[in-house]
Amino acid sequence: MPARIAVLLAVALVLGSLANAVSPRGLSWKEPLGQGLRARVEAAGFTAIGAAELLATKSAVIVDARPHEEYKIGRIKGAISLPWRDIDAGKPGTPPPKDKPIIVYCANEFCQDSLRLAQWLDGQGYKDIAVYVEGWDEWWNGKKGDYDQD
Amino acid sequence: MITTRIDRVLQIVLALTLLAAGVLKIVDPRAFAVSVARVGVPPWSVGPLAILLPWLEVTVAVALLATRRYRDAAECLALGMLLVFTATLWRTDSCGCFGGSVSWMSHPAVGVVRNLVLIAIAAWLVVRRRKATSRSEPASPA
Repeated sequence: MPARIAVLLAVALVLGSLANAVSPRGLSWKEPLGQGLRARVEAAGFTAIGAAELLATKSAVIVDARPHEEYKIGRIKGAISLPWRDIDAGKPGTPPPKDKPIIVYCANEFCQDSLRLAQWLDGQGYKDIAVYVEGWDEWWNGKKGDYDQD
Repeated sequence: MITTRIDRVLQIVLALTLLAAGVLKIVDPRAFAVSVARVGVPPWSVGPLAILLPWLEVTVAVALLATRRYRDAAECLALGMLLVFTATLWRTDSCGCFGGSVSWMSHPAVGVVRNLVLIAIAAWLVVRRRKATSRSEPASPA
């Protein structure tokens, strides 16, 4: 049986390598997630912040860019839900007020939804937009602060 | 005969689940790579795991469905993968088990229950095959 296991592993290796090479969605073997979110946020002209800055903010509207199902399971306390995927699908939902600073976050530093939402908000005329780069994963796993759940 | 048919049904259930999981990851490889990265594996391993694991799921599924010769190996690989995937549920709030799809299928509690059922199926098949193999081996001389 070890030989048959090796055959299946080899088949998976060959198929996976070939498919990844020809697919337009193929990943880089060394950097599958590309440039980090913090670098992309700053390159786009937004402010990248951490949990400490978020906790220090009193007047900002915190916006959760994740799908609504994830928002319901857990979110930063006081955050409103504005899923980027809904906006991308043509269902913008209820946008935040324009007269307050905005802090956008999504799941973690590998998630791009927060940056895409920040760019959309910028296009809608919002000013003073920051992105909490480490996102919900750090807030929850690192017990950074209060949270809400449905 | 009835037991053999049950085994075949269980193989098909296991195979179709693995096939669905693998295809969903192949369709959105970046989302699965994010899930792999969130587990906390070494950064250098994220790319290879994200690229190859879905195809291993598909390969094992096809071996279970369409071959006789490789079913025993496929059952063992399926059991191994399921044990590892279930262990990752304890380290992250999502295992990425069905790629980047966000639905009730990816909720941690649902993922644990689903995986435990699949582990039970795979373990059952592996144990039954080992028993059948040991029964068919000739007895050692006195």
